[in-house]
Amino acid sequence: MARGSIIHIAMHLGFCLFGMSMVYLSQNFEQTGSITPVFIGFCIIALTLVSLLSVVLNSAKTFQMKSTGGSIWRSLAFIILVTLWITLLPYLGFIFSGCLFFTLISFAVPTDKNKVTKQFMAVSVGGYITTFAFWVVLTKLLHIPLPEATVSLLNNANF
Amino acid sequence: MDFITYIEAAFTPFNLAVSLGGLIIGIILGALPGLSSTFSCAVMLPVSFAMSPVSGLIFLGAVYMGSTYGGSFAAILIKTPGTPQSITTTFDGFPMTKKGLGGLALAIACVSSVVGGIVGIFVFLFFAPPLAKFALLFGPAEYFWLALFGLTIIASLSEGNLIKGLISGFFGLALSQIGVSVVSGDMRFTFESTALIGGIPIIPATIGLLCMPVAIDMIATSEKHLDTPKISSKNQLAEAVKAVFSRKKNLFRSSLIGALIGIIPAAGGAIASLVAYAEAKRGARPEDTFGKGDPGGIVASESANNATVGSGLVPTFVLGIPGTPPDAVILGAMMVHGVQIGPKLFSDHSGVIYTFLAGITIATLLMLPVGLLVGKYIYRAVVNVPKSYLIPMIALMLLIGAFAIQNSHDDILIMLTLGVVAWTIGWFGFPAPPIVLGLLLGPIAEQGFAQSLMIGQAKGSVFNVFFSSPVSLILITLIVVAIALPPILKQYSVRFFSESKKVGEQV
Repeated sequence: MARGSIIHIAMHLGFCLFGMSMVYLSQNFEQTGSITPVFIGFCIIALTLVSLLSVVLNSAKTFQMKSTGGSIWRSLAFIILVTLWITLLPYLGFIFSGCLFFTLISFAVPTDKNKVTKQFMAVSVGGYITTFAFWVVLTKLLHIPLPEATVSLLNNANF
Repeated sequence: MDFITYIEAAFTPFNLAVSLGGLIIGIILGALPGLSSTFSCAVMLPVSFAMSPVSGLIFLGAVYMGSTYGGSFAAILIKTPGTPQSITTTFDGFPMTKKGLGGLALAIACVSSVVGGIVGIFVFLFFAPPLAKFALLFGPAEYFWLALFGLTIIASLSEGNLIKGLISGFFGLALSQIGVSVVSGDMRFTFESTALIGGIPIIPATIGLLCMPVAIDMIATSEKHLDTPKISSKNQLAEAVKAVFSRKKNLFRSSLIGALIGIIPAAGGAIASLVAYAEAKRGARPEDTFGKGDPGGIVASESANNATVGSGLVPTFVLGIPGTPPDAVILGAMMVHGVQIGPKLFSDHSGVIYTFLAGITIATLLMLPVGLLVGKYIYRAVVNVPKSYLIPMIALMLLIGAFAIQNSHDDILIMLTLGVVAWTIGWFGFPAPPIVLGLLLGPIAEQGFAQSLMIGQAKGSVFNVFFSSPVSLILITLIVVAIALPPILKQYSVRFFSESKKVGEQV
């Protein structure tokens, strides 16, 4: 069986497991609070089994995964960078982390290698201006708070 | 005579400037992903206190109208609904942008929003007292059936595989169960995490589910992110007017749906646009391509959500019950300004009310030139900006949008987690929009169901509570029609086309 098919079946089993755990965990709730999650859990299990059956019985067409025609590694790099950004956001604050990760994420975007240095400079400057502009408009003009740094030196107000 | 004087008061230079200013601020705030109409009105509330009651209300009304329309910008250009009302705008708006028709899509959204907004205001102006009584006909059972009716749209969002669409929809419903139960008070599926006690917040979840996968896919390829515009900006207004008014039935039906749902307390623009979109899709012609970049989808969604702005004021002003969440902010502003809400409002404060209505009508009409102008430049900027700048910019906006509503770092984590989940399951053909739908309608359906059940048990007849009121019966009929009609129509149209093809071949 192809690797894609195995992952596809595993995905269905994952949904099935999700439905089963929902039903199982609902036992701890009061009766009125457990009706809906139990119903939803059973529906997920039933639908997943029907879908799995149709995947197994039908042609290989159903096993086909969506293709973006691009590099999955770049996608994963983006996810990792955004995760890092979000993790460090409370420590670094909005402005510092914004400027830093704006530049780092732009590196993950496929570009013409001959223009890397020029583009790096332009995007970095653009990133600083954009981050700062958002901060000024949102916090100073509209009084919408943005994440502050726990490291006092990096507080948004120091920039 | 008095009526004309009140309307004239809306045309003072100051009130016109207030309308324009409120509109522009609303469009900008609404265009930022995550900043909803409620949020925009709440942020601008203190500004309105510095003005006279009429000007302050016109300002808030213009912010509300502008932000409802502004939500379509991010929905169309980067598949991120700026406000929950624009979730359905992403379904056809973004595919149009990918085809190089983003400018036209924005213009269609603008024209539809203006028409919908005007219909909503007219409904308020001419039918406020009788329609306020209609709002009172909605009890828990009616809310339950309304939520179920909204869920029937899942079938049309399933992109070819109904079962996978339904699994996604139920996954969304499952996510809506997280947090304190509205029915029993149980802490459900929180795993002792304080972040989950309040449930999955709808705005960060919507941003994550709909926009994160787009950004992740966009970074993977070296291709240009959007096609170059196919229609010159000079022709866009004419093209948009043609596209909108060639769908008159869809336009007016969606505006009326929006106006009616706006009247129902707390239902709001998101549900109105979902129901209008579902109806537009069900009434589609065989050549329509809903979900793949059909202007009809934008017409339905935008006209419906803007129609709720005016009609939501019906229960707000007549009964003191906010029709939509931003109406609660407007209600607060009225109380601060000393305007007493209730049946006597139209006699005691007719000056304030009619001038306010004239003011938001002006703001709605101003939306056409302002919206087209802003849309033209934003679209041009999004198309021409290099991907290496656009993607970090989207990531930055996602973070701001998820954080700003509750100032919570946990919301950003929820946005990221759901975004990655949606991207992963998307590889296997499980669509993300039904998850959003389940998350949005789940609590309404559950609360309506449980309350009706309890009322039924107390009254000794559960059946009567669910099936006896005329509104429930109408909604049940609509649900049955919604489920049964599309396959019948599909079969009929296939037979009709094959027969006409045969006739054509014989000729």
